[in-house]
Amino acid sequence: MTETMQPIDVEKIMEEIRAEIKAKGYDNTMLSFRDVDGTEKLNRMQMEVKFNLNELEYHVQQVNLRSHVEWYHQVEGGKLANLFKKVIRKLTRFMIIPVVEEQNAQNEAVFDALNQLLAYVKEQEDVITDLQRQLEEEKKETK
Amino acid sequence: MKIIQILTTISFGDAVSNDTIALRDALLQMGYETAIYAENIDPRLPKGTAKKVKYMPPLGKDDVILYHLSTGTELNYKVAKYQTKKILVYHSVTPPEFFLPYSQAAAQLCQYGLDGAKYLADKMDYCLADSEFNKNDLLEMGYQCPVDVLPILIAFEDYKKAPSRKVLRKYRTEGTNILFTGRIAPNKRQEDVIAAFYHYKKYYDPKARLFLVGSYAGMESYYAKLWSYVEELGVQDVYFTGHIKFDEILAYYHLADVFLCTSEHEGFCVPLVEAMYFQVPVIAYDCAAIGGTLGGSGLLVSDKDPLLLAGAVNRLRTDDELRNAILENQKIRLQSFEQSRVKAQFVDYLTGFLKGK
Repeated sequence: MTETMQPIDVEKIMEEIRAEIKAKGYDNTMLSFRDVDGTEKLNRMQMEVKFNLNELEYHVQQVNLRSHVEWYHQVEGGKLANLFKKVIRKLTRFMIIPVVEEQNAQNEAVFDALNQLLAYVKEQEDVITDLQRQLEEEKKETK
Repeated sequence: MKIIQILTTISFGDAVSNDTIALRDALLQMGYETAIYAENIDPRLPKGTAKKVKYMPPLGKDDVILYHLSTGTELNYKVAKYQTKKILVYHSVTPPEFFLPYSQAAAQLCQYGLDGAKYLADKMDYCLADSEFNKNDLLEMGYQCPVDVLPILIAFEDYKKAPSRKVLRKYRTEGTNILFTGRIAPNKRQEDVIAAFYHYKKYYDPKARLFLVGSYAGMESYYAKLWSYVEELGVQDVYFTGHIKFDEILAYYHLADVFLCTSEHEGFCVPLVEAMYFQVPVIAYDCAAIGGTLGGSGLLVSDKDPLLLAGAVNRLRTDDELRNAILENQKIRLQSFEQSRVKAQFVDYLTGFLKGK
């Protein structure tokens, strides 16, 4: 780095601000975040879903990014515990893997369907924007 | 010799993915055969950016894997099995405690990530951490191999794109614009920004606005609590943008008068660098990697008292000399994150590692 930074005495600045707050008698009492309950708001949010293209795009992206499911999660432990887990894994894989594969196929299908829907919504948005523009132009012409 | 990069998810525009792509470009410039492999690939990325991990070619003992770790995934365990040289690029994992009150799933994912990072402690040959903070994290987890610090590579050229005119038009009016960008997440402590804003609006600028830019997907209950907090405080002009387009994010940086960060866990914190780029003075709480990323620039505070933070915002708005000094310092600090500089550092580190092996 060729240039050097200007020294800023942050503590001094903060002391000055503290003094100013005290002098002006500003009150720092306020509702604590801990005392807030967001449950009602969360319920309301879940009830009043409004369409938002950005949100839709984001969630379709998330569906894609999370569409692949692994058939087991590695859990670390002691040697004996690991051996035990390995044996259980080997014994159950014939049962679990087909289910997980089926789920992954289902996830991919859902992802494809959502992508199609998203593409359709975007196309329709463009069509509507064009029609609105045309309508406004025609309105201007008739005036 | 092939040098390949592996990560669980490569998506469009996020910091780790941008870093991976920039490192790939650096490897190509160095003349290496290289590719990116991921389990999940964002379809919006240009075709061929990455391939699925299952299509990874066989690797020899001289080949090198650069493994990006930032979350809980089975890959954290699988990567240890490759008989190659292995470099961990550590982007940090948020401590699960932050998420426990809001999302069990998110907390479990973080715990799984931390377990994976610990599991790899004796299985890596070399590590690159985004920050000193992340380096210390690795050392505490018991990593014995050499660990160097390499800042995340940021695609500054993207910031030159045009900002959303709609957003600029809407908010380019009187009043201070306070900004924080980053997903709505409890480790980022957006409630502290809201509390500071409450005092700022009450005592200093009634026309001020607060923009909390970032997606709340997966964190709905925390987001609902933040909204309830805003409503119960009765504070106006707090805007949660949710997930927005890139040109809109740019517009908020263009509008911002102050960037206020009260986050309590960041492995690097790209938005700080973004604020430096857009010449927005930063006020940030000294925690995790924040101080390291600011590197002496910005206004790094050790007290989170919201009234004091409001006073600090006011000081930056009224004290031109201080504001200019902070902006000058941020401009100097920004140079440390220039792509050419970070890429050169990466080349040095990689060459050193390969020569040492």
